[in-house]
Amino acid sequence: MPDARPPEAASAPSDDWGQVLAALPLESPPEGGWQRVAQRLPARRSPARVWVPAALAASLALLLLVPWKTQPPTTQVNPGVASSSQHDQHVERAPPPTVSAPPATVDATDATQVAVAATETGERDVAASLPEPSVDAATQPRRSTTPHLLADTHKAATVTAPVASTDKKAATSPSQEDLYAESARLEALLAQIRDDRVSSGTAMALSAELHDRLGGIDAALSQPELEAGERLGLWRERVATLQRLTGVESTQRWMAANGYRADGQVAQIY
Amino acid sequence: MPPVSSFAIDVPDTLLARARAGRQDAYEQIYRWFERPVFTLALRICGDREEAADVLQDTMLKLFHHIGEFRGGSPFWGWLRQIAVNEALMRLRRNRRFDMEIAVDEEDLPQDHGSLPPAAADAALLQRALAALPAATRSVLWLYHAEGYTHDEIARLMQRTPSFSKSQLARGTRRLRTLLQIEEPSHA
Repeated sequence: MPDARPPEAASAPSDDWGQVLAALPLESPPEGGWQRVAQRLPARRSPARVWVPAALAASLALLLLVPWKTQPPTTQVNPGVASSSQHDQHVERAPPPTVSAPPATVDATDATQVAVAATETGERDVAASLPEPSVDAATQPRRSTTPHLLADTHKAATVTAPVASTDKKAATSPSQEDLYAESARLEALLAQIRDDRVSSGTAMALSAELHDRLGGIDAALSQPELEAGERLGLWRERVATLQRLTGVESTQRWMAANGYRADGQVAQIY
Repeated sequence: MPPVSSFAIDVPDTLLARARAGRQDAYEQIYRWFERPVFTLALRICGDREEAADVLQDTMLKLFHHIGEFRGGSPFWGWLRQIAVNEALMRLRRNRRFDMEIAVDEEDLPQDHGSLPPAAADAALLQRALAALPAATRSVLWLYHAEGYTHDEIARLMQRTPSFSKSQLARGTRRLRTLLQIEEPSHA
């Protein structure tokens, strides 16, 4: 009888069955399984969707508030200094100073609607950097309301601060530790909100450009002989770039989640 | 030494984090890693390639829908395997094949303690013999021997008793021996 067998002897055959069964070759499923699954994957049904509106609101509030709080009293840019900076600062200086002007065609009564305007104008930034930036008058006040442009204004103001008022800058500039923390926070936020599946062409181009810029900054930061002031400046630039990138990515997600078209069409990328 | 499940693949935390963030490339990577273990398990339980493909698809969709709920207290592969087993067994129940096959109570059957038949080393013969078993019996046999589930765990999964699991295991082993044309050992 089996019960009469010693336990060690009784267990051996079972293990043998297990080994031969487990050693059977794995079966291969039919081709195209992943494509079928990918088609049925929820575009926005991941748990992340629950907090996306909150993340959007938080990031947009940050983008709106931080530059405003750290801006010098006047955003007048010293032409002499600005002309020596990168070409995109030409675009950054383009918005008129009336940052509170309402959008011409969008009722920006809440943060999400501002987000729509942000993307639209963000894409115009790309167009504006082209040789013939024909921007009509109606879009000008709208551009001035975009969070990332405000961030850029902050960056431009940072560039010109030594000329304008060093005392004011010292009073309002974040420390390097603040910049580290802010950079890490924005990186984490970006990792959560970024979604390559849905994006517009121009937004992707803008995003790629900003990533390139981040890469350049990181390369510069890796130089050991950097002066403390240079390092601080690079970290400021890094945070400003991350703020722009966060604005672009969060706006893309919000628009895709709500069925808005970005610049003609929203592309599903697999 | 207990057999190692084909699911036992360590998934890096970074990949899981990307999947939790909804990154499709991470989904695809996880799918590619586990499609064959899931399909094989489903095929062993359901016995039909088309059904197994459906189980694979449903398992992966359920996994990706709920991946944010995985907290990491146990291996990711174990969690995925549990989903796959549930999906396959649910399909058996839905098709009413399960209830018909387990109507026979063979609790009193003796456990199989004979040595392994030589023909069992032939993968093709063994697969053919497995395919000839009733679905419920084959499921118990596979979950117990190849995946290392205990009788208690199998009983919970199948909503039966541990005795049911033991009897199906004994029945399955005897049938396998017969199908492999090996005489059963004497239990006298």
